[in-house]
Amino acid sequence: MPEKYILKLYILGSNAASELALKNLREIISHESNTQFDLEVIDVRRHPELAEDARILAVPTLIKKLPKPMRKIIGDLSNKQKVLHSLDLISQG
Amino acid sequence: MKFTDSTYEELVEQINTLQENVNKLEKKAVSHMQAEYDLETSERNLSAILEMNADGILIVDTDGIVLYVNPAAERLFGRSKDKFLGYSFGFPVSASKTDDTLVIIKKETFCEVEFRVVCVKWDKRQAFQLSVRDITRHKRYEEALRTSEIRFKTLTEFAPVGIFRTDVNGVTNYVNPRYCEISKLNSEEALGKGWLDAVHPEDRSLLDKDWKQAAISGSQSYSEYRFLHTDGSITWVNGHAVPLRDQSGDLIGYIGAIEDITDRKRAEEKLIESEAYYRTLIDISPDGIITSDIEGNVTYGSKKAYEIFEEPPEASFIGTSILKWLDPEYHLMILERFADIISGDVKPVTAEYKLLKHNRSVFWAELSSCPITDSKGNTNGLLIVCRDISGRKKAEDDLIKARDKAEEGDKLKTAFLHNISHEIRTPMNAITGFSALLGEPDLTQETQKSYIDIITQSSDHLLDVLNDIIEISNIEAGILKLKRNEINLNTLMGKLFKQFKLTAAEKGIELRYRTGLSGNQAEVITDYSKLVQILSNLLSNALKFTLKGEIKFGYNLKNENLEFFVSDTGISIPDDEHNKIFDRFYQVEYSTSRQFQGTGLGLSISKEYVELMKGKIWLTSDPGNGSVFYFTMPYEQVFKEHHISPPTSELLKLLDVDIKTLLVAEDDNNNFHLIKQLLSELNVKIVRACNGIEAVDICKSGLKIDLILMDIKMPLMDGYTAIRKILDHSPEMRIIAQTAYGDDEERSMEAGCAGFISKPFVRKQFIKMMKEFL
Repeated sequence: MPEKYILKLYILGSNAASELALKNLREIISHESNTQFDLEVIDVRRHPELAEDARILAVPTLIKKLPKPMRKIIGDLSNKQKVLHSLDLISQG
Repeated sequence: MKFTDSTYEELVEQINTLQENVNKLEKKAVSHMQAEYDLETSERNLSAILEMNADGILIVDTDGIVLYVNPAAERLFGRSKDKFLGYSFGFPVSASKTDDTLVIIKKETFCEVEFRVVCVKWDKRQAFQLSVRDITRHKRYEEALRTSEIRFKTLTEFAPVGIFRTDVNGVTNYVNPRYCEISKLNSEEALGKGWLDAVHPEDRSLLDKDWKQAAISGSQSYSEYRFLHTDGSITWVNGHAVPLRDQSGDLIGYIGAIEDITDRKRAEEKLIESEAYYRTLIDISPDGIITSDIEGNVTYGSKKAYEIFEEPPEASFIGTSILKWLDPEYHLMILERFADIISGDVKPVTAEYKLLKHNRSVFWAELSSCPITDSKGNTNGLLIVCRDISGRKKAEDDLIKARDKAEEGDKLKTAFLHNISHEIRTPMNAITGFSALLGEPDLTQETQKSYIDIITQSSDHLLDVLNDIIEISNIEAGILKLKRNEINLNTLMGKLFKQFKLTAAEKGIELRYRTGLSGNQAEVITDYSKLVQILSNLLSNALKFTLKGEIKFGYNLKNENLEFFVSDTGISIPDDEHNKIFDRFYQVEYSTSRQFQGTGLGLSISKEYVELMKGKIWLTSDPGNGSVFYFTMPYEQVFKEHHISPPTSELLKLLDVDIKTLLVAEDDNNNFHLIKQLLSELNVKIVRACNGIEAVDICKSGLKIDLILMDIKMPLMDGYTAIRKILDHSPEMRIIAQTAYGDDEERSMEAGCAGFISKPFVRKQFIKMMKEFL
């Protein structure tokens, strides 16, 4: 049983890049049927304190809390290969 | 260590080699140092580039930890370098090929940025360089541009004018809805070249010219043109077009606006029509129309005005003073009218004026004038309608003349009645006088016969007078009828000659007649009695009128008409009297200066007869040579024959009448005979004068005259005038006036007469009076 993923996506409301990031992420998750994901989407406009806590400097930002190591990714997640790699879902190369 | 030469040499060689190596090393070291120096410089330069870059630059390691941040990034993120370095920014995964956007969180606000990622080596490790560019402002520009476009679009969509844009060839690439409404094209038809087809064919070249002109001059064009719609209706527009140019100044098209001015154009057309309408009204008006400014200078004159004033078309009223066209007598009147108008009298006023034509001749006109006011109601001129009333004035004058003539006619009629009583009394005098003489005893048969002749003649004359009066009343009543008698003209001439020759002989006048036709040709159909009467009237007049010389009468055939003539050598008749003498009663116009014995109706009756017979009557008269009376009638032969004989003429010469010795001024022969007879028992010499002039001449001739018996009513000079002239010459002369008028006694005494005797004479009274004076 692979480890459960805990992901946090920091976005800004209806910002185009944020929406794209969310869409891309959902797509990725839907393809990873073997992995359990726990995705939390945080709107930094509504919850600026959460952004501050997580030291988010820009959105969209995706944080992989678990499994360790923690990873922090910025951008609209449109480069699927890189995203998968960064999330250790596939080995690079 | 054994040193041999060879060894030494080898050593030297080794030293040299070493030396060379040292040199090489030195060189290398120098070069290396140089390289290090270059590197250092390069890094410094690079650092400066990073530091000075306007874009925010962050360098993060593969874990997303910030390794470097430049000042622009510090500003952009709103946090200092120490709040970056060592922090996790995040591993940039998204951006590889295209520029991406991020929203950076700047305290409580958000700022959209564009970012770009490149892989770099940082401290010999793999790293990423993020370039971050603030696009907020750019976005704002874009937004502003979009807003502006929306605003522009809204503006054009709802603008009340049609808006279009074309390329350099006039191909439309934009129109607003109003444009479509005005041109009645849908947007597809309006775009491209289609709009030009909707422009009225007559206006296309004009439009093309205007646009090209605008392109050359660089100014906006202004044209008025028409859209011809498919249903045949027309929309007038005014169009502005502005040439559009690119940055290098080349023409790239036009932008413009059109406005529907159909209503205005219609109004203009209506105005033109209305103006034409009123101009026509003015032109066809039988009255001339003139306007002037408030100073009286003419500002307009209608065609008719030019005609009325006979002003040549090349001349002009404009600018001339209105006074120039008015008789000076009326200057004050028109100036007063101007004064009234200036002081606010707006009522139209019509008055009659004497005006002057171009050639300064005077004519009558009726001027109606009213003020002309501007749109504010201020009087700025005078409108004058000028009607030529010369005709009406003439008619009025004619009417006055006719009235005067009627009044005169009335007077003449009164005078005529007065005269008629005289004309009846005169023969009556002879009849009663000689009837009484017939009663005298011891009269020889011869004397009796002469008395009876006189009585008969006088009765005939009285009858003539009465016949004339009856004839006049027939003429007045219009019941004259022509008879058709077959007569021989030559026989008639002969009869007339016989009838008048005695009277002519008594006056010592030659009488001749001439026949113009002979044989059957002289046989004509006419009203015998009327022809005889006409000729008798003319002959009687000639005889009465002529004191010496000759009287000729006769006829000729002229142009299918018989032309009769009676010529005399009496005094001439002035031209202006020629028509008047045919008027009834004319002869008695001047109460006592009687031209002809008779009723004064002879010529009038003759004229009526001639006209009834479809002829004409006239006379010619040369001063000093007497007169010729002519009349015509159609020539109607009894038997038509075609040979014409030369005219024959007869001549009869009569003896002069003996001049007796005594001054009796009496024109009437019978009266003279009566007087002579009455005076015969008194044993006096009798000299006769037939008119006033003769009486005066005889008195002046030196002949001794003791007493004058003066008839008042005589031809050429009446008795009163003769009395005055004689008394002027011989104040002691005693004159007895004798007249048939009842009211002459007073006038006779005033004129200086010694006595007065009224006709008809009572014999005893007459003899007594003569005896007293002699």
